[in-house]
Amino acid sequence: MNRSLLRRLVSEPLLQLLVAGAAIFGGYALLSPSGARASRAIVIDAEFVRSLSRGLARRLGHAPTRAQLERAVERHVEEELYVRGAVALGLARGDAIVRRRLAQKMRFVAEGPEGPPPREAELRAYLAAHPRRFRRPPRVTFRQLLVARDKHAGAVELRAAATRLAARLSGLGASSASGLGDASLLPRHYRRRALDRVGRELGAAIARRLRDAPLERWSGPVASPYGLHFVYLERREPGGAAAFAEVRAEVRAALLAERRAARRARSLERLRARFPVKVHWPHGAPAPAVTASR
Amino acid sequence: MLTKYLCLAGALLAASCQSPPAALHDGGAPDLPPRTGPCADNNPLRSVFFGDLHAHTALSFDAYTYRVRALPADAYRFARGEKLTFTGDRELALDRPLDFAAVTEHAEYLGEVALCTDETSPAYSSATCTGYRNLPYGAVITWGLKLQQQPVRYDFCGADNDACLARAGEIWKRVQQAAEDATDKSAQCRFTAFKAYEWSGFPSGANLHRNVIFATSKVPAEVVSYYDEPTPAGLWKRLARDCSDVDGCDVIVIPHNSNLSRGEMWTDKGADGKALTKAEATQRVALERLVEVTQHKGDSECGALSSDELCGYEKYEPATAFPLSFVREALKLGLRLRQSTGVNPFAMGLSAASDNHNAAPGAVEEDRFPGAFGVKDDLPNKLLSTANLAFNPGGLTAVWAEENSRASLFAAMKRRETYGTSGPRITLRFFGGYGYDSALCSKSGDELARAGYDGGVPMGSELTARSEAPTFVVAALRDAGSARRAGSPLERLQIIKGFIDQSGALSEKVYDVAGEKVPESTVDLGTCQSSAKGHDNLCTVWRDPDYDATQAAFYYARAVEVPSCRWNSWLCVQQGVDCAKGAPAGLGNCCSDDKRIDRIQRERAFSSPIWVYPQGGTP
Repeated sequence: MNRSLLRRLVSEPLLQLLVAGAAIFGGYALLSPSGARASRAIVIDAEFVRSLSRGLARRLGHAPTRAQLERAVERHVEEELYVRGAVALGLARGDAIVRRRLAQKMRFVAEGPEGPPPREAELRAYLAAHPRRFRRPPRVTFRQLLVARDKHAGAVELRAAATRLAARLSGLGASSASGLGDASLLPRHYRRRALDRVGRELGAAIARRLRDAPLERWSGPVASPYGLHFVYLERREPGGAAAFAEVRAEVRAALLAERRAARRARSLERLRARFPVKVHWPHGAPAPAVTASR
Repeated sequence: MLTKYLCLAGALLAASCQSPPAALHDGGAPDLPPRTGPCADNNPLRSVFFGDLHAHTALSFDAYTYRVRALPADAYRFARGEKLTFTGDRELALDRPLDFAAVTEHAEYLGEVALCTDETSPAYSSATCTGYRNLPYGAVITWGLKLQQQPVRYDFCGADNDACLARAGEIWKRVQQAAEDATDKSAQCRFTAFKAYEWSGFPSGANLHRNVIFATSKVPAEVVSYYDEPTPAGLWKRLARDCSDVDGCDVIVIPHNSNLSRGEMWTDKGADGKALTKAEATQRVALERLVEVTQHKGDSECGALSSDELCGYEKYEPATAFPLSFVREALKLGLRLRQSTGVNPFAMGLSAASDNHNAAPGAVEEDRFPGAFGVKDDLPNKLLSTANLAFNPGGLTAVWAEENSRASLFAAMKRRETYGTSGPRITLRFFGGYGYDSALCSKSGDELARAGYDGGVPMGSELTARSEAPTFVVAALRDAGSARRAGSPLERLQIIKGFIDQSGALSEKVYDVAGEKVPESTVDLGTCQSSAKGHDNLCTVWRDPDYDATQAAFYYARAVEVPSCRWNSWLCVQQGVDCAKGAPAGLGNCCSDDKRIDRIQRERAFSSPIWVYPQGGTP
């Protein structure tokens, strides 16, 4: 080989590229610790072969032959080779399914384990810290009379009927009014009903009225989905802090849910610290809400 | 290493490389001592409580493949009014909490799913489990079809199915714990959860599904699945035996989706294929106290072939050729079998449920139907696909009980003092007796109830025929609605009679007894607003004009609401679809002129029957 040929070859772009590539890969191989190399090997350990063998035995109804076992091992090796190749080529990037899967696995890993179940003292402390969440509902014992919407031609007639009933009720006790008002399937007498339940059955306005209504006299009219009512409150049992035994299961569920949410938030914060986030909003995107968080 | 990669490379499923049942809920609290006295608002005249006795969570094999990850505890929280996050990152809370609920996981595959999703289990890397996790849409079909075949479990269950049975037992414990934790055992009595599961046999394509509902805290340690007992008769026998081994145990069985049973939910044959015997009839009616009359996969009250104009409601298979797929036919056949065996095997009360697979019991509001199958129907375009239009949000069970405690509700279910609704919380009373005051309807609800119980029997009971016709008192109050949305008024009350004459022929008759039909033109499909006035309260005291004291008969009441938008119409309105401008992509069914798509419906409540049997026992 003469010098001019050598010079020409050296100036050939393709050869330059090849040499540069060889240098980089060779250098990488030489510089990598041997452990990294070893970990690239696909090792099928004996325990895995045994579990394959057990699975095969169940499917076949007898212990697999050496040939069957070898084929099963080979199938797993092939799959692993493809997976390694795909990861090396970056095929997982931009794949929505793989991304979602990775995100889910990371969420699980980052949140960490559930932790020990809450102790009794912790539950009691949680109840003490959140008494409003576990209140016993107020209860009311009352009578009601209805001026039924569907028994009167319109709003004016309904009002007029209510006014007439109000006049008759003034000064009457609970029992002497029992024949008054329009018939309906609603009970006349409610005993110790939770105020929130009254709200569901007769509407929020009646529940509000019963919260403040004077005891032992007729009060109204007050509207419900069924018309106008007069109520006679006989007894009001204030709501109050619940006894621990009453709400223990609820307290426990709330505490566990809160801990789970806290773990999730912490793990997300840790990741944010590692990977700063910057969002470039395009022109023409909807304006942020006034109360936007973050 | 390998399993990690397998997990990573193929999985479509959210949590398939962990074990959600094991990871998300721990062992739980010791049971509270039961309350010693009655509930604070105990009512001897009985109050109505609304609940849903049929819902699934991620522990059910099909729900898991729909990427549902909520668990029984989440389902009970939702039932009690708390917010639940659905697939597709949607949140929903009920307007009104339920009074009671039962999570009813499929007993089939309870252990299998747990094993297949637990990376540490030996079954995890089996071909079946890998397929279950990675190909969920295929797996739900293959696993489902397997329930139509010979009851042989998957290989990975191991010798004698030990691995799957053991794991199923653990999951059943978790399900029980969730019910125990959710039940309010104080005198406040705010919520009751029942320990329950679903037996899901589907032999040869006939849906014979049944929910198993326990009365008690202590229940048998094993669930009974199609693989353990492949026939309903086997289920009854096994339940009777297992329950008798547990102190205080009591149980009922609620068949459902007879509309998909190819006429096999109720037949006149015994287990051996010969005529039904008295012993079999007795065992059956001792357990099957209620039937689900309507739910997510269609209405089973009566077939579209009936002359009753309201039977076209929510027919999942409109052209089904099996009359005995419907409850009313079964109630009639029961009269005939009572003549031949001496016992009516099909004396069932009526109930309804959601059968929601999103861990969302009670999500039955038409204008906020979140779907019922996870990712399969979680977006408007999926919900409005032609296949999904056949479904509906399902209904609720109403129970007349003294109080909201397990014992009181269960006793009411056993005596069949229940009714089903297609979703609304209509109040419905129905009494039968002799000599009711014809002026009962001018009384209040509590006076009517007192007279009803004093002078006769409530829905679900039996009367002995006299020469004079019995009197029925039927009264309904429309749903009060919520702050978010008013309830619909009532259109009319009906009484449906089924009877057997001297020749043994079975007939039915529908009577309009109060109110009047309202035309569907009162609904504006562009806004889903209704101009119908209807009634808040309907009540009548009624006598059968065709009464014959020699005939055995049943009577049940139906309260019908004025026409309103079906869920799909609400969704189209909410999506802002304007058919004059053409439907947006994926929402074509909003504007299609396909007459098979229902857009307007009449919601309803169906009472349990009152049976009237001729004197002197059965002929």
